[in-house]
Amino acid sequence: MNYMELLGALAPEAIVVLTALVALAVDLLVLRQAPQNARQVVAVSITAVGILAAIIALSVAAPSPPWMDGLLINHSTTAFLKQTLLVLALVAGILSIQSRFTQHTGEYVTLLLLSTVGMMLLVSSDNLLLMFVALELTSLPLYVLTAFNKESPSSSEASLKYFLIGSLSAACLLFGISLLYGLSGGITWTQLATTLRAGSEPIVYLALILTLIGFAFKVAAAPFHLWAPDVYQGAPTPVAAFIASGSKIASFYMFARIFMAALPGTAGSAAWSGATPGWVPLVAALAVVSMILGNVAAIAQRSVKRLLAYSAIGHAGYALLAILSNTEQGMGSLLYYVVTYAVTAMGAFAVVNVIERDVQAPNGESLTDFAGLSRRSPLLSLCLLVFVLSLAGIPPLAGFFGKFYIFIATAQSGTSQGLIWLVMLAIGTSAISLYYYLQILKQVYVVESVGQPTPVQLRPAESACIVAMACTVLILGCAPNWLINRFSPNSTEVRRAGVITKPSTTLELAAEIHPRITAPLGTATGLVQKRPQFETTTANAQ
Amino acid sequence: MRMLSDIPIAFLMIAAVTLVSAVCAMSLRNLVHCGLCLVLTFVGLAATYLHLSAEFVGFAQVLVYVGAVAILIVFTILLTRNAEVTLSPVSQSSLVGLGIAIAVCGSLVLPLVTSPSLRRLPAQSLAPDAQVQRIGEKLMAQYVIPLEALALVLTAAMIGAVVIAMRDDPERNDPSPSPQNQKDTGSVSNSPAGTALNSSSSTSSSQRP
Amino acid sequence: MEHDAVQHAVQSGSKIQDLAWLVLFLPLLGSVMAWFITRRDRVLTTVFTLGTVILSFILSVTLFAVFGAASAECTPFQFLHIGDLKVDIGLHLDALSTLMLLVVTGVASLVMIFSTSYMHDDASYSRFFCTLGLFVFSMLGIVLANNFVMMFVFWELVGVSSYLLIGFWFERPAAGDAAKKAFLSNRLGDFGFILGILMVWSAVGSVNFQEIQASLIKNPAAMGVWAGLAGLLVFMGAMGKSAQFPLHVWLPDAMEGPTPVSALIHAATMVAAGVYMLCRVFFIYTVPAGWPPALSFLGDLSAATVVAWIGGITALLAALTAVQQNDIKRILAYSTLSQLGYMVMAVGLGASTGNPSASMFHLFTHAFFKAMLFLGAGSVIHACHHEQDIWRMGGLWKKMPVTFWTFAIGTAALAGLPPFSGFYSKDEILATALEANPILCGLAVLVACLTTFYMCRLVLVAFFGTTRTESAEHAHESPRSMTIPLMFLAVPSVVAGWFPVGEFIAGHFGVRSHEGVGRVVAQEGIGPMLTMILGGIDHALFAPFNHNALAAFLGLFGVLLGGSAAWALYWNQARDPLPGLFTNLSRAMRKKFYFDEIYDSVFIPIHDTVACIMAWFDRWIIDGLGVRGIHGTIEIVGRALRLVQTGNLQTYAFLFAAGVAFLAFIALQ
Repeated sequence: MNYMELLGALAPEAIVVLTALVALAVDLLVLRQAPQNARQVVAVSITAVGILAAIIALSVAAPSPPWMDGLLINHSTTAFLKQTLLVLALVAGILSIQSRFTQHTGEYVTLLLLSTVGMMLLVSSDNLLLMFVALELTSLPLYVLTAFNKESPSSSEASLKYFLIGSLSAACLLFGISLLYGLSGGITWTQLATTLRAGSEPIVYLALILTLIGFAFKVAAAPFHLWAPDVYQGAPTPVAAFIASGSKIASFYMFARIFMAALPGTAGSAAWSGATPGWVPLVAALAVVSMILGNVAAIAQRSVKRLLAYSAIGHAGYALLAILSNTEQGMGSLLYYVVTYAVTAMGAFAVVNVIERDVQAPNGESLTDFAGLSRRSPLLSLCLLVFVLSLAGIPPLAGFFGKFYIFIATAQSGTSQGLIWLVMLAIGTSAISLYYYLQILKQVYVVESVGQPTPVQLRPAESACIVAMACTVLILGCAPNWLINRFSPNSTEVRRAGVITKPSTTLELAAEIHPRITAPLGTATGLVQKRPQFETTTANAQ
Repeated sequence: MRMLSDIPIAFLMIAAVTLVSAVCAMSLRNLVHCGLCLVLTFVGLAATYLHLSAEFVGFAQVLVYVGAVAILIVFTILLTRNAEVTLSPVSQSSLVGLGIAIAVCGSLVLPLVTSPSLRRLPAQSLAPDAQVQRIGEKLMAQYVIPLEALALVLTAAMIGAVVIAMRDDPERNDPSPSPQNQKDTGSVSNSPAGTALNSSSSTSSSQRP
Repeated sequence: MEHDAVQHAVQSGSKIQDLAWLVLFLPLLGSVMAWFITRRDRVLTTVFTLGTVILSFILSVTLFAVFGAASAECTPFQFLHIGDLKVDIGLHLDALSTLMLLVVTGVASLVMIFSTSYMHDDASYSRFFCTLGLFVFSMLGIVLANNFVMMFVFWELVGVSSYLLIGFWFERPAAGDAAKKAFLSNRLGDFGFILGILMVWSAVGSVNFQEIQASLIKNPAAMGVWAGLAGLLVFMGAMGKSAQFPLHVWLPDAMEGPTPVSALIHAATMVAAGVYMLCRVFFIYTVPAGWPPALSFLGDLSAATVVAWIGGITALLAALTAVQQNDIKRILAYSTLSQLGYMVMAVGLGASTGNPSASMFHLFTHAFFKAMLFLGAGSVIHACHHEQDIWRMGGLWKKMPVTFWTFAIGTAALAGLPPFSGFYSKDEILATALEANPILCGLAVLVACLTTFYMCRLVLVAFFGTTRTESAEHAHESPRSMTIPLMFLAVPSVVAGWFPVGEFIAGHFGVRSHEGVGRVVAQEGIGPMLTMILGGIDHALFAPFNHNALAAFLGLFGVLLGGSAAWALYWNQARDPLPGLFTNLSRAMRKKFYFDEIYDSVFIPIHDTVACIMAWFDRWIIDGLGVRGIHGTIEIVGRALRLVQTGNLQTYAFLFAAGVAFLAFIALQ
């Protein structure tokens, strides 16, 4: 046990905390009387420097063995997720420049960064104790950030609801954790996984339910979604964007980790015929309710932020499918899905942020504020088109492959297509979802704006962010393998070891046709396979 | 098998006091009374810890919650003088609430009483080895990361409390009065909200689609 | 041997097939460059977009000559490797895809040339051409895809670009609504399509067409109980894109788009994508029928039979509807629907003989004459100052000779009059139907009769008789750039049927056809086929009568019947006599058999009601409406504590707790 080594392992988090404190100090001590805009620029610049430093620290850090009972896990997946979280936090910071929702710039940036630290700790812990603390560290700044717009009563109202419901769910989670500890006698994943089995004891299920509720709240899965529409609408838009993106990534990752890695013995099955109790059917119930409620209720919304909230509930339903598939592939699909979703949602909120600043509506924007956007800012509307179509799951955008990957993983996980009913439901609801996404596009492209269309004011940094995110969504859709390989099982180990397995060719037809029999799960993923450039077959395959 | 009679009478009494005071803290009309009931709840919890031989946690509960937090709450209530609440604390949908409460309570209690592992008596005494020194060593060595994270949680909470409680200077925000203020005139609260309580007015009518 | 030469070229790595990448990406490159660089300049935009498409066409001809006989595949990069699922972006070249390449790039080039003058005055000229380029790219992607996933990706891209093109004149609300309707109906079909893809993949273990085919040949029962369902679900994709009953409602509305779009997308290419896809994945329709236990009552009913019947119903309904339409574009739209139904029926019927070549043949000829008819209609509409009602035209044949003659050729081809191309392809369908299912054959003859009837009605009313309105009076022939594509399209409309395309395709499907042409072509390439055709053109002309005379005479009988009925009813008429004769039937036809009304009165209210209930439910939760309803009149005074006590939060807490109880119920029941 050496504090310096520990500091080395925690260097990225430490850098972010330092950045937060420096930003606060500079803002409060030096720039107290400076104009608001200058304060915002300085605070975000400091944040940018700190975040870049942390990203560099993450990319150079060597993977370390787990620290102290899995209190700290560092490997390439966590490093990548942390980098994504940091980038999202930076974008949320950039989006808030020039917005008028608060005078407390330093505090805003500090809380944003502290929440990011919470998320970073959350993705790198295999331990119930740190998991809970990190979850609180993530949530508490978000509650406060939601209330940052003091001119809007709905901001405070949303914050209060978020806080109280959040406390309720935290209480449930804590109860669940304590039961898990009491039943297993340990707080690390390995201890839990070796002791807990699905058996005759109903108390195990009670522990599962309570733990599940805590996470269902965090990821806004119905019926624990009630806070989401209010918070998305009431919170300042950059904050809502961060809640919808960063917080989702961290919570979903931990959600999947705790159930897949720590509680594999209590999984059960959600197959259409022959379901067995465990957490999988519970997650399936949440997924079904979320997909239906989120996608159907979104149709009736008139505010884009509220609509995005309901769509987020629907998306949480799809992501839950990945969790309940309970395989390595499910984990990969979940990560691909939440990362691409986070970028897309962040982008959509960024566009909403611009519009909101433009219309200056007292109660947030509404769908009609987007009318005629294509004539007011073609660039912005093109980016919004990319984000919305990606959310709707139209190929070749990232959103499609996210869903597709999840459907594949889910369809494959059940024995003899037992989970195909969930996939059917998911595809059906995603077909419904196109309806309300098209309503946004109809406003943007078809409906005329009221009065003379004036160009939308866009700041360079903001538009650079939006365009970059739109390009990311497009590129991840056109070349999904890059991101998928980062999350696919064993890819990191294989890459590090430099193992190159025998290249497979399409000529080995038997192996290709029945890969499930001949090739074990994921052996060949992550390798650059040398395929022949082309091959010729006769027209008649006989 | 443990029956109800096996449960120590002391525990039952403590539990009863804790529960009743918690219910009172939730439902009494006078906020000062509510605060005092909360103190009683905290005391009950401390007693439970002591009963389980967790001395350190028990005393910490008394010192921190009873001694500091609850007293702070009572002072805040007294200073803001909003103690009397005129509205009925019982909701109209109390029957539904009662039903759901019973359902939840049942679903929580049922697994507890039917689980075999909870009926077994522990083989040896479970009194934790809870010397303060050991706890300190653990916290500074093995659990130093959660400890640091908790420090950050407290920092965030403090900054948040200051931000929410601080009264914004209306002129500082923007040189030109934002149209938001002008349009808001007819609504519930025109002045920038001063405290969390003031600002959390119900605006359900204004934000609905 | 030419065959050997080709093989040699392929194996020595000269990579002729990599030209396919150029064919695919050139249109995209042209649009992107035009959009980002030369958007302001019409001439340069035209050069970029049209030039790349024409280049694509030239390359396609090369590819057709080389790979029409041999098939080849290029797999240059991995796209998506997820566990067992390996998706590589690769292009597959064979008889089917190269033929389709020719159709798509050829028709697209001509339509774009036509558009240069048709769209000349439009403010969004550049946007139109860029979107067309995007569409051509996506369509070529469908044609060249070597696996299901890639095809699905381009499938959706086609949906998006057609959404943009239908809604091109978004100033018109009808155009926006039509675009949305098209997108949503397509999406409904795609719901089934992707599910079908997942099903095929999970049953066979691959998404690559070649691999699926190979394993299905090795073990026809590989799909087991999923065979029927997977076939139907994949067919749903085709139903959306090829506008089959009951998802056909979007196609007539899609005529709100510019006429060249109707010609390219809604006549020649996009709507044919469904038929093409069915032929591409034909192997999943030839396996023995199987149903999961829940659907076991379906017994031996194969997916292909359902496909055939849906095609037949679509063909009949659309033909009946077309009889009483007055909008020139709508008549053509319904005729397209009806012909698509024909093709789909042919695929379904072909499953019993293992040979869907008749549908591809008809797709091939139909693409030319229907595109020409649409462009001709565009020329008429252009000349009559955007008048689309045929009863407000009349006597145009003298004023617009080129348009009239090409339109007449198209009509003859569509009706199926020998020696125009439509006769030969339609005859193959009739012959297939006669072999496989006599009832459907009778239905097909009826449709052929109706087709002739409504097309003759269109020509007689619009081009003959007296000039009925002012705008028709002042009509004059369209400019050169519009008539030249018409003339270009007229040639294949006449002669396309003389080539034994059907047998050529049959060769691809490994069917030894009666004359052996297919086999010859498959083995020796295109060259011998050409010499054979040129040498024995008279033989080709009378081929239908030689191989199945009954089918040919039945078809001819239908044509003559329909034509003479139209002549008797519509020669020199000032208004439509049919409503007087059959009041109810004609009203039903005019109202498109009330499909839109049925959908509006069934689906939309259900949809709205569910959404409203959900929203109301959620608003109740969020608003605490039950609470607010009682307190509604009381002034809001309570601030935060009141909120906590009687407002939303308590309701939230209730529902939170209800959620807990719900989960507990699931776990503990």
